[in-house]
Amino acid sequence: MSRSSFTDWRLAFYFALSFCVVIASSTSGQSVRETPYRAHAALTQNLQSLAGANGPRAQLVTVATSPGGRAIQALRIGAGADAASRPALLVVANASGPHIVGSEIALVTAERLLSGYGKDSTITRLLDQRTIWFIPRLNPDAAEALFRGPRQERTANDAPWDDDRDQATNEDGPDDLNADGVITMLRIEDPTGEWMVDPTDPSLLRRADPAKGERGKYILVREGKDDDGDERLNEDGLGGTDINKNFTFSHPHLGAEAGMHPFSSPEARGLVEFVMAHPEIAAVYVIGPQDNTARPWTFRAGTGIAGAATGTSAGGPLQSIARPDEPTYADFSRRFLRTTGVTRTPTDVPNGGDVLSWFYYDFGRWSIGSRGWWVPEAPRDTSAAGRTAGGGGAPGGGAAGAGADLIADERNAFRWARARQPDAFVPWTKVTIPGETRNLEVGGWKPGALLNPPAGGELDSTLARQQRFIAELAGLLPKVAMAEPTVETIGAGVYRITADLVNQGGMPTTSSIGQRLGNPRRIRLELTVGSHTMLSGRKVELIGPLAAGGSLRRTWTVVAPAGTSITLKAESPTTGSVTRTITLR
Amino acid sequence: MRTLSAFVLLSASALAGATSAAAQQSLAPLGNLAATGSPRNPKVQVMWDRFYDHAAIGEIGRRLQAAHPNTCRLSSMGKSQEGRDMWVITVSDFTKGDPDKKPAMYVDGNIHSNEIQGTEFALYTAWYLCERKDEVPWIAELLADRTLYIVPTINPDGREHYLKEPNTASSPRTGKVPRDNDGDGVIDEDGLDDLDGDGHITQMRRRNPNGRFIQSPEEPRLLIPAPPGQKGEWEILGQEGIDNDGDGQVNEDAIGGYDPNRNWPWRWMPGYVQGGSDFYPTSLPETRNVIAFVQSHPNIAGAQSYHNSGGMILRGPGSPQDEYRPQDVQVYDQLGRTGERILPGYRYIVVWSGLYIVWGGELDWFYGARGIVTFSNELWTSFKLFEKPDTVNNRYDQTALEFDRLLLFRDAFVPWKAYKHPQYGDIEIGGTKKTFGRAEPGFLLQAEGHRNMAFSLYQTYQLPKVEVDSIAVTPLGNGLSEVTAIVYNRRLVPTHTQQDVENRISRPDYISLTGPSVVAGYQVTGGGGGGGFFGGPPNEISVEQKRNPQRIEIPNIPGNSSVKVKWVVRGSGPVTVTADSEKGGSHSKSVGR
Repeated sequence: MSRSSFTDWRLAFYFALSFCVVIASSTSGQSVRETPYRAHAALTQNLQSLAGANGPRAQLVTVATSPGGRAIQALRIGAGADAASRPALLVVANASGPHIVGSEIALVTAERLLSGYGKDSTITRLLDQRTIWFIPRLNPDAAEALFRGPRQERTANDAPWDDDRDQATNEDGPDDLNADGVITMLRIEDPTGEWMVDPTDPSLLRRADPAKGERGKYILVREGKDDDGDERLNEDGLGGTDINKNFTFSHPHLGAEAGMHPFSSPEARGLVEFVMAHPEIAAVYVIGPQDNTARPWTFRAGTGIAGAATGTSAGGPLQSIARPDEPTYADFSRRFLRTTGVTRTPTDVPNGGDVLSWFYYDFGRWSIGSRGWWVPEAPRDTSAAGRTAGGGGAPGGGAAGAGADLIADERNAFRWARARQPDAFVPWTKVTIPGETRNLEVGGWKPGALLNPPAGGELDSTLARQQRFIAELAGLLPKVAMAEPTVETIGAGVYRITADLVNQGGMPTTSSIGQRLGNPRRIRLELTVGSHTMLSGRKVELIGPLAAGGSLRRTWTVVAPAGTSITLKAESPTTGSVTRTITLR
Repeated sequence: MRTLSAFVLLSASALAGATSAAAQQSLAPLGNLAATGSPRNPKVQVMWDRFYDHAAIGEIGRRLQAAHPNTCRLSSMGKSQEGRDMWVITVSDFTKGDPDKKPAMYVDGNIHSNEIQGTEFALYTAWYLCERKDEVPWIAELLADRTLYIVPTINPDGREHYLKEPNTASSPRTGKVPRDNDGDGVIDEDGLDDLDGDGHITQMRRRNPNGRFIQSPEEPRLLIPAPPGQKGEWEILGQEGIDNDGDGQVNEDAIGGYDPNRNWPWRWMPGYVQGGSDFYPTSLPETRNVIAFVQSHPNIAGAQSYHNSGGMILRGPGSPQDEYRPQDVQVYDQLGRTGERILPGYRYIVVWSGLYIVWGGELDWFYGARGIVTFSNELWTSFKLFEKPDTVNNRYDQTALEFDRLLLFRDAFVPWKAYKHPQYGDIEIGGTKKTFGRAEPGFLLQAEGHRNMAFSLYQTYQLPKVEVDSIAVTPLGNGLSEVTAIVYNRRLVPTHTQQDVENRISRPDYISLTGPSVVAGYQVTGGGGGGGFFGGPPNEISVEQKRNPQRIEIPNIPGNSSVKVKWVVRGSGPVTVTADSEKGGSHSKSVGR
């Protein structure tokens, strides 16, 4: 990999993920609780005490152990004898390492729901009827990089990996050149550099546009030096697999941090084995970079390989959700906006092999994803310079037209941070590296940052919004019900039985994709007549999907003596079960 | 262990002399002369006209190891779902280098439970190499610098079920991880049933005045569709079985329920794109064991995975989404065309365009993820019936039953007989046995095993082999000299496939200089002719490697090609150049000064 393409790659990554806000003001990576967020040990302890204090309403299991030796835990909350078997919602957070606000949302939501049980009637009713699983931190190795010095954004787990294939592992990671405890950026004054100081916000850099006669002044890379003397910077730091790239859908085979192959990481494999062992999980809420709340997934017509239909052997993978699932995603979106009060969300970050897409496309579950938090719109800059630069910009605006402000998001973040988090941005300061004669400066956003709100109002309101939506989603889980079947006598000893099956949940019993996959399995409707004769109808039928509130009628004809009892049962793990005993008379 | 009694045993090397003498005694008076190409007096006697169960596979491996300790080693790559060892037989000349550092060929069989003979072909390969190494110089040389990792079955559970339980030629295909095939919440509840208890799963037919079939006039054992205008007499009810779970369907949920050859983590697709792929790639312990083995043996440069049937030498891609790199296709083509010569009746074709689309198949993982040149042979073809491509009235089954009549004396067919079926009433049960139709009959088994082995040995021979060809030293004055070396890969397969180069799967080849101190190092490209010239012919371009110049890194040495490197060195004394390739082996040469 050439130096420049490496630089580009790393920058693209940096700017995709890390329009970040500082977690806390700190000078040492080892301090304990400078942030509202929890390192692995604290998170684990909190989960354990939560499970311990809430007895049968909370249960903690280990899903996997990361290459760094950290346990990935799942907490089940729900009251009642059938809490372990009835339909459940799974909340998964922090598959993407720096996205630790997701862990906080998951943990605090679990905490508040458990502590509200028996006190708050809505919460009590919810936990009496619904089960929620929380996996607050799927990628603990990478998350830990935000807590241990020098703190940095890392997406990959601790698996040893020779990124540059030089037969040495982890020999050249970022370095804390200015010894401030965090890894930010390094700008190197160099005539070949493509970056220039932004005229409006001189702390920020942007790409020079040669078409406008601009010339670059800086090479921009992550803070570090060439530790192994191979003339490349930071090309092989600690980190193997990004868990949020290690799933199958659109998996970037052999791509950076994608892993040896999909499900090569113990974290991803642990998750799939966990959900296979818990077929009652009907829907999944993923808190991470991928977001389909305010911009719901939609069906897009199109063809696959050689004009064949997508989602088939000849046409290859699906390129959008199935058409019948579109209204459900639109409904999730409406609910999210109404319940959270959010009016817009940032542009979705495309990411092959992510956990959110996998849950829908390859595992058939309703799969809803939220960023959880993003940089709010900063107050508009009314100065002349501000107007020239597009004012506060349009954060996450997506479609940028010609002449649009290419660093609108970062500009907005900078203004927001100036007002709310003044130390989020490390001012550029000179550093030296022995043998390096060019001017070097270190600065930029502190790690963790634009992904995770600072302590205070932003975090508090985020937690409250997210808790409301998680509770709402749990309330929407499918639930099969059956009215008392009717029995009619056709003739002597011949009976017609009619039953109506209803989905009382707020989402279809399975997605259309789930139906095509056979995962989750459909509702099994079985009429048990013993040795008696069934003249019409099916003894066993697989049913679904049933729409939210949808119903289905089935009729059987049975020959049996009057007074005979037969049973009709409808069940599936994701919808629950209902049994009726019918006496023929 | 019926099978074991079939061959003469030797279990310990201490007994080898005595037992082989005994074998001599018993056979010599009969006047034995080995036929061309066959072991003269094999230390381990194995009959190659039969199929071996799990215990016998391990036993053959153990005996080969005991009789040929310097050539053969038995180990396990891990356990199957049901806890059976997945045996690996490593064959190489252990007295000449570390087998795990030599260019290696990986051979497996039986990924589909019913596709059994790949196991025997793999075992035959191990046996043949062991028994011939001291008799045939070509094999001794092959094993001196090559290794074969032979995995007779990568699906031991499914194999055991296929061999020991009543089955058809097509069942089971799956392994034995329990799965709910029909999505009714119950697992493996309605499989095939040997209703008449004869040890075979055959067909069920019923007389029906409205049926669509008649008995074939040429071959009355066979039902054929009634010709237009003629009334049928029979209906076909499918494979032997009953509705075990009373759900109105017969045989809808047998053991397992997935396809082990759709479970690999390269272009794996969910069930609606690729049936049988299971919940996720590597969900099966057998898949994971093979992957771990291959990843920990980067010296594997070639692979063969035996299937049946149809007479094909298959290469990927399995899906139209992939395209193999042109440089690699050239290599595949040269090997595949030779394969067609070795294997009459076999066609060299691409999986997706020549057979059908396969997502998440084993050979695509080998090539896509590991850059290994991999074939899958579909063993057995109807061509072998009468050594002609044609069939009677274009019907394979008719031709096959003619073959059964004329050459197997009706051993392949269970005659129809009456049976009272609990759901269908009066029916007849009969049809071909599981060992017929997809596997060679006994008298052809060894011949086909030998031909397929020969193809794999050809591929093994053509795996890369790096050799320091020549070294030249030219004084530059001031105590400095220029050292030039040419390193050849003398075989067809490159040290790195293009897939490997582009994705940086294997490490580069290293060409190192030891002796004098190195001042600078260069790879020399261009110059035409790929080496042999010294002193800088026109058009040569030298590219300096600034870091670690005593060890020049070469991304790839193509097949039958050379690379040239040079160094500027200080000081005198002998010069040693070593070429070291993960898949191409290593070789050193020295010159004195």
